[in-house]
Amino acid sequence: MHTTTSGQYDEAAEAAERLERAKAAGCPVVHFDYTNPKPALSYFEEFDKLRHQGPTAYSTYGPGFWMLLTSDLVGEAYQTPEIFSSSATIPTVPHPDWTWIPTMIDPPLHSEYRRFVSIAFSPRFVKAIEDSIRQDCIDTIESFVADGQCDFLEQFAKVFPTKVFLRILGLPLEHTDMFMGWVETIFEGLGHFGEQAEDQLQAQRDIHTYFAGVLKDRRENPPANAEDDFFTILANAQIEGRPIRDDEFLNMSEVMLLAGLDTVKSQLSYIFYWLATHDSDREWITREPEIIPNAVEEFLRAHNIVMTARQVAEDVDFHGCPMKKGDMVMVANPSASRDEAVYDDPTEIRLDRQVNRHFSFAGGPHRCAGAHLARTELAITLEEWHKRIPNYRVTNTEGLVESGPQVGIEKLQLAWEA
Amino acid sequence: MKHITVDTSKCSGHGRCYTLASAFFDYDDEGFPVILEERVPDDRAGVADLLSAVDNCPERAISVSDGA
Repeated sequence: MHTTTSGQYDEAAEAAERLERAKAAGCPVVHFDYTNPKPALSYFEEFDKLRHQGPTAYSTYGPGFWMLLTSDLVGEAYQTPEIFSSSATIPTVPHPDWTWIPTMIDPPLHSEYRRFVSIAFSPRFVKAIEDSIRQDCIDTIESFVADGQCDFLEQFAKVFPTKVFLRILGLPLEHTDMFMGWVETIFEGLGHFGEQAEDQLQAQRDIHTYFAGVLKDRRENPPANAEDDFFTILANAQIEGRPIRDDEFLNMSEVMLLAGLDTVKSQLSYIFYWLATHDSDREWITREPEIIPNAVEEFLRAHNIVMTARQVAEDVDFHGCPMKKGDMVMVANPSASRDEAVYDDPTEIRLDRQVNRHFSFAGGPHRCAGAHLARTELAITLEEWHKRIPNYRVTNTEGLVESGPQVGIEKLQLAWEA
Repeated sequence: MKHITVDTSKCSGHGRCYTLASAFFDYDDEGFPVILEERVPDDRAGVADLLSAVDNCPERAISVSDGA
């Protein structure tokens, strides 16, 4: 008995046709299920293998998507939003039930929203609050330093960046666990099908319900610091000369949580896993803290956590790939940032690498607005941690696993001589 | 002399230039670079940083050309 709806049938037929197109063009065909949990650092190696087969690939996972694997092609896609639209940004979700703003809005409308976020997380602002960021970092480390051990994600990586971020946005710190729960459910659901995807949509609805309350509050009871309060500014924003709509406010609020709460945590998991298992790099950081800003770039490059996507807006033959309107394209940042054409020994970590133009923060108009904050948080963490805990080791064997589309190590237990 | 230009159609405000070569680039309220002097003498201190900014721009938006 056929229970398939016509929509699903169309999708299956489209997927089959797309696969034939990729095969006919001689594009390497793979089954890249980026949601499959694997041992830590596996995905970076998998991308290396794919890139060595060719600059592009086609994956049959889900409805199927093209993959751009080199620095040149990824950069070109980011700089050509009229062809590579942000209307859908998860490789296996061509028809998303949500509209993240400004993430999924193309230029020129994009900049109407983006400027509020750019100003809120500008380098000038981040510099102005650097001392308070540093103090949050120190307080977090000192809360467990005497124990001689910590659950790195639960006690540090989830705590410190969240504290900083929620203070910037003026959201209550006591709601941290709730925010983090929603965000984790969403990232665990993205790219999956079935129950996890349903849970993801529910978490998105819960976030909107919460921020509908924030919107009402900021309109009815603006805080004393209204001119500095992010959500008051946003609630009163003008978009194309008219007041922002409620749905726009909610979609932007959701993006703020998604972008701010999980990313630095995931990046830190790789940095500390690497340093705990590579004595010479760890000793280098302690001995020569001036290397830290450069080391941060190198960690961002080598272990780039975000696999994002674009949707083809018009039929195009892109470097031999016959793409059609509506097709999804994974813009493989983690692969582009390890491209042999740009970097010497790209799979090696070199803390003093001189040329580093990675796409860890994506590129083009949608370049991560939180990049300045993220870099500052990562550098301050490396400085303050190694002043207090110069030597440490990994003590867990279970949970050293990762899965996409935004990878991060699931559990990292560290120990040191207290 | 070195002539510095930033292609604003490509620049997306990564901020590598004003981090690596702060003697040559400042930034605006949204984090886009501001060139301090479009022409600098070849022997200006820190010219190596300027070339590093060119190499490290993810968007390949910065050009430094020689000339009067």
